[in-house]
Parts: sequence; C-alpha cells; structure tokens
Amino acid sequence: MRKFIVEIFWFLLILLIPAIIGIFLPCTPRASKSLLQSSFQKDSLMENIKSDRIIFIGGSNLSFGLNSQMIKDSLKLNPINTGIHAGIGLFYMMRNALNYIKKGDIVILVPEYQHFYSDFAYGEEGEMLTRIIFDTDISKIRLLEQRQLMYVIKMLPKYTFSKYNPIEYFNLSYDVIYSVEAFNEYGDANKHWEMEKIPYVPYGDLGSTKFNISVLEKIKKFQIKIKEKEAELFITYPGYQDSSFFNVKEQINKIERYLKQYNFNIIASPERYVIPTSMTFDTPYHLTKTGADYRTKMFIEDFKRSYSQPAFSKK
Amino acid sequence: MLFNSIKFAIFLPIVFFLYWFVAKRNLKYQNLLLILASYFFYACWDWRFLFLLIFSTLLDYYSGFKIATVEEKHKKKLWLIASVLINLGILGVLKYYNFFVSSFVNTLLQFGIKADLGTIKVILPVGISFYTFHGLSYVLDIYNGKIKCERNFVNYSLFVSFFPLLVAGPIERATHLLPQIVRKREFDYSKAVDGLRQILWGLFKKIVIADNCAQVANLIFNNPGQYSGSTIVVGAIFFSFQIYGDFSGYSDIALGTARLFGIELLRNFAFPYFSRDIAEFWRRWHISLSSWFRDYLYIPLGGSRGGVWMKIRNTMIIFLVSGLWHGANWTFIFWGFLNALYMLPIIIFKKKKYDTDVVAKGKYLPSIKEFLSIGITFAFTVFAWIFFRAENMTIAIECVSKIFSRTLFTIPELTGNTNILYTVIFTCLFFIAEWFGRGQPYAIAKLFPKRSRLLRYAIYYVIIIATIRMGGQDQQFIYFQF
Repeated sequence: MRKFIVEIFWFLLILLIPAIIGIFLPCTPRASKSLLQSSFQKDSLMENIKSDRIIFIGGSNLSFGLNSQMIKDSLKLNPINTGIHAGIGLFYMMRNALNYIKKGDIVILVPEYQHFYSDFAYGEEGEMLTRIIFDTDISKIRLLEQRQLMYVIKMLPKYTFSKYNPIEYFNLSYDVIYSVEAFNEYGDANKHWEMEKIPYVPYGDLGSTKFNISVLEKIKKFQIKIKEKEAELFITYPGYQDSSFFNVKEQINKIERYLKQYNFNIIASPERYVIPTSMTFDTPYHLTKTGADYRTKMFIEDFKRSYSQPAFSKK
Repeated sequence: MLFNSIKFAIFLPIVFFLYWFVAKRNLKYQNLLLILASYFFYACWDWRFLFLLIFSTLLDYYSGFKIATVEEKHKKKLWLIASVLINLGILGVLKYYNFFVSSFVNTLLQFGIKADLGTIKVILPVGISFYTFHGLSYVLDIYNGKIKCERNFVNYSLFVSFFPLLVAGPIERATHLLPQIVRKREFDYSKAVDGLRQILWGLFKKIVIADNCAQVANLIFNNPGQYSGSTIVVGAIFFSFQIYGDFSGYSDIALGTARLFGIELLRNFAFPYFSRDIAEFWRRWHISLSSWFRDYLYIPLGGSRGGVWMKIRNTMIIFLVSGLWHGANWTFIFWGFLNALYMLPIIIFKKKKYDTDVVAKGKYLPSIKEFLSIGITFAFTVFAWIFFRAENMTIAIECVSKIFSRTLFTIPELTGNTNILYTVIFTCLFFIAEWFGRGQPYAIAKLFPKRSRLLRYAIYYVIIIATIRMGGQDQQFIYFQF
C-alpha cells in the first residue's frame, strides 16, 4: 500500500507542478489576440462614456449583430455594445456590467436563447469563462459564484496545458473577425461587414431542453440592482436566423412566456427578430452588415415605441 | 455524479482511503462503507430514487430468502413470479407505460378511433434497468438452484448497489460477485495499479473519443434534413465510435474502480468492432447484457435446441426485447429487429461460429478475408446505429432515404468544426491501440511490460495530456438513460 501511495504522489506531483505554473504564466501571444481581450475596451467604454447612455449586454448576437452608429444617430444616446461571446455566460456579463452602470443608464439585456437552458448562463462550457478571467483580469474571479467556479476549475487543466502548446506561441496567424481588432469604437465587431457570407449549418436545437428558471430569478435581481442605481432595464431578443428559429420555436416561445410572467420591460417579440438566412454571416446569431442594419433599425423602432409608453416617458 | 466529474475525482480517493485505512481488514466494515458510499453516489443523482433502489433490494432479498427456505415447489414458484412481476412491473410503469399508451392511442387513431388514455409524468430513475436485472438474476439463480440465498442484507445490498456498476453496469451475476463480497479482500498493488490504468483508459475513451465524436454526430443527427447522404454516413460512423467509447469507457472505469477495492467485475466489451460477423459482435458487445438474455430468456425459451425455426423465433424475441430494454421508442425496437435480421443468414446457413478468441491471433494484420469480414460487419453495425441514434422513426427513415440517394456520392459537409481533424486523428490512434492491444482485457492492459517504467509513465502522461487537451463538451454517458 505504501508503495502505491508513494508512486501516486510522485506521479501526480510531476503533473501538478507544470500545471500550477501554467496557470500563472502570462497570457500567450495567441490568446492576447483573442476577441476576449476586447473586454478591456468594453469595460473602459462603460467606465468613461458620458451620459446619456444605452448599454447592451449579451453575447455575440450583439457584437456581431448591431450597428451602434445607427443607434447613436437615431436615439441620440451613447451606445455601448458589451457583447463578446455567449459562452462567457449571462451571469458573468450582468455582474461585470453592474460595476459600471450609472444613474440614468438604459440597459438593454439581450441574452442568447441558449442562456435560458441548462447551465449555459453560468458559462457551463467553461472555456470562455476561464479565459476571460485568467487571460484578461484575474481579479474578476470575485464576480463568480460557486457554480461558475466549478466550471472554471473543471476547465483549468485544459487552460493551463494550453500555455505549453507551441501553437500558442509560434503559429500566430489568426482570424481578424474573431480577434481583439474586430471591434469599432462602440464595441461592435465590424471587420466582417465587408466580407462575403460564410456558409454554415443552421442550429437544430438549443443544446439542451432543460429550462433554467434561475436565469429569470437572477435577471429579476439584476433589475432590482439596476433600479437601485436609478437606471432602467429592458429585455429584448437576439437576431436569429430563420430556419434555426423555426427548429426551436417551441423552446423560444417558452422563454417569451416566462419573461412575460416575470413582468420585465420587454421590447418586441422573438418573431420580430427572425433574420433571413441571407442576412446572417457565419452562425445563426452573427449578422452581415445588411443584417445588422436591419436588426438595428427594427430595434430602434421597437425601442422608441416601448420607451414612449407612459411608464418610461421620463426623458 | 459522473465518473468524469470533479465530484467523482474527490469521492473516489476518500472512499478508497476509508476503505483501506479506516475499515482496514474488517470485511463487515468494508462492505458497510461500500454500501453507504454507493447510496451516497446514487443519491447524488436524485435522492428520491434511493427509496426505489432500497425497495427493489428489499424485495429481491426477501423473495430470494423465501424461495430458498420454503419447502413446497409451488410456493417457491409463487415467490419467484411475485418478484419477477413486481420488478418488471415497476420497470414497465416507469419506463414503458407512456410509450405503450401513446402507441396504442396512435394505433386506434389509424382506425379512426379517438382515445384519451392519460400518460404519467415521471422521471426515469437512473440505472433502473441495470439494478432490476441484477435483482432478477439473483432470484432466478436461487430458484434454479445455482446459488444459495445471501442472508446478510448488507452483502446482498452491495451486490445490487455497488457504486461502480450501479448506474450503467456491467450487469453482474450473483454467482460471480456475491462470493467476492463475502470473501476477505486484501490490498493488491498490481491489481490497484491495473485498476488505475483501466480507469485512465476509460476516461480517454469517454473524454477524447466519445465526447468529441459526439459533437460531430450530434451536429448531424440533430438536424439531418440539412445534410447529404454522405454526411449522414459520416455522422453514423462518428456515432459508432461515440457509443463504443462512451459505453466501453464507462465499463473500463467501472472495472478499474472496482479493482481498486479488490473486486473483479464482469468484462463487458471485447473489441467488438473487430468482429467478423454479427453473432461474434454480440458476443463482444455489452457482454453482460447479451449473456443475461442468453441465460434467462433465450435458453428458457428453448435456445438452439428446437431446429432452425425455433432458433429464429428465439433470436427475434431476444433482440426485440433487447431493443426495448434500451428504451421505450420504436427506434430501439427496430434496431433490435435489424440485428435479429442480420443474424438470420448465420442461423439458416448454420455458419461456423467464431469464438471470442483474439482476431488474427499472433499476426500484425488480419488476412484479406478477415479484413473484409470485419469491414462488412462494421458497416452493418453502423447502419443499425442510425436507428439507435435517431430521435424517432421518421428521422431514422429520413436519414436512411438520404443515404440511399444520389447525395451519398457527394463530399461530406463538415464545415465549421475545427476539432474534427483532431478527433479523426485521435480516433485512428485509438483504433490502432485497440488493434494492437486486442489480446488483452483492455487495450493498454499490458503496456510495454518489459520496457522501462519511464517509458510507461511517459505514455500515461501523454494519455492524460491528450485527455485534458481534447476534452470535448461534456456529454452524459449514453447508457445512463437506459
């Protein structure tokens, strides 16, 4: 038995030492080009942009699906697009944004539909959540709750060994569309706007059919905290490619039903933001320039309609 | 608590430590500890179903006791019937009630009769098909005089609920496992090392092979209407490796874990994709289930004794039941039926039976005949997996009709998945490792035994790093749903 324990100890030690060192090694050159690095820019926008502000919170349906210039021109508000990647998880996005929300801000929450199912809102895939913490600002680990930490811990071995992957250091060719360089001054990813559409397969499902009611509870708490800051929260739906939408229409309807039940300030309906395939770029959520303009135009109309209702006509 | 979860990585060393250091050398305490650990393990899924597990255990324990102790033959039979009926009744209601009701309503609808028979809302308790079969084999073996009843309830409970096999098998036999439970167990260094090695290999199969193949297979099977016939074939091949990596990986982890506690479980897989015909495949795939059906259904039905027609009938029955055992869906039943059809030529032409000895023993490569036989068997198996994987028969038929269309001759569309190349490379390496390790209980069982420890450790590290690097999106073990 003693021999067995000693051998396991040495075996694990040899594995653990480089693993622990790997965690604290600086971000690799490849990771430093990743779109996750745009979180610095986005935090800085939320920190520094002056009122009156409209802040969009969500995943890549926002970064790849919004034309903030149109919003600025039409609504005369300063737009901040915080969208990076849905895989980070909705809860991290909300908690991070809370640090920067100021009095008078209009916050538009646009979760991807997947965020309402399973643990996707916690960042259950783990990789993006782990990377945004360890590759950008490790102090943000305090924003994570226990379940998110579990997903991060689970991903740590993979993350730490990526630090020893030569590709991370020597093969520095990267896709500019998905890099830190993809974003404009508002936080919109616009490098793909001049590019040809890339064929892709529509989504057949939302990854899970297990509806996560806690997402609504957390949004409710988020709404309360926003109110405390004298800001206002609205929820709307992401632009979503038509056939992917119809593949999961039932599940999307369920989301809509629940959001209504919770009495959130909802802008429009999911059907409103069904986007023709020709206007999508490389996934059902990522839109071409035409698509982003189309979606933004509809959002502006819907927002004006919602905001002019008596309950919100403060401005 | 999944075998590939952090929770299990914490749970297992704790139980191991308590087992060998605290309950050390006291069989009673060791068994008690294992049963408590097993109930905790099961409760992590859903504690409410723990009551069902305990009820099922009590039922078979008491039935077994009565069968063994009552004198009259007819009373023994009554106890056996009661036990079988209650066991199958619970399984039937929880697993099959909704399926049979909705199938019946749909059939009536075909004749223009509208019926409204209510369905029940129930979650299927994890592992129910496995522990029900454990219990059934116990009472049947007592009735048939193969074993004596176990008087110690803790020992019997451990036989049913031992955590490595509780939720997805192997389906153990009382004749094999109970004697190990009642015997004193000593720590054995080489067995413990072998157990860890098998766990490592199982994790590799699950995390690297199954979970990554699943990503491609799911992409295709969740939306088959979007894909060409050739892509669906690729999806079916990926699914074949997924289900093999998933289930045999689970079995490897279960066997390895049990070995850490000094217990040997039944082997469940013997390199099935190297089978030379479908009969051999079924002697190599999910061996504990196939042999269960053989011993408790096929042979009691008359087995091979009554001529060709009887053999065909019995084969049909066990494959249909086996299909139904996998799930309450016509796809599983058709999958069973298809496998029974594959067996027909072997039965009718009384083809010589391949045993489960090593394929191409002593040779690096198979002969051309063996190679073709393996290839054809694999192709038939892959085709049957389409029905197993499809959500329903409509989708299965859609997939098959795509395969038999012109689109079969187009280039498969697998854009947008950058991991595919790595998945293919690792699957090929895995296949090669399986081929060269086919003479062992599992592929890396005797990894370079004559070479230095350093080389062996280096290979373990490579497997661990590959497992970490290639860790795909977590997928539930497929066989948990059964």
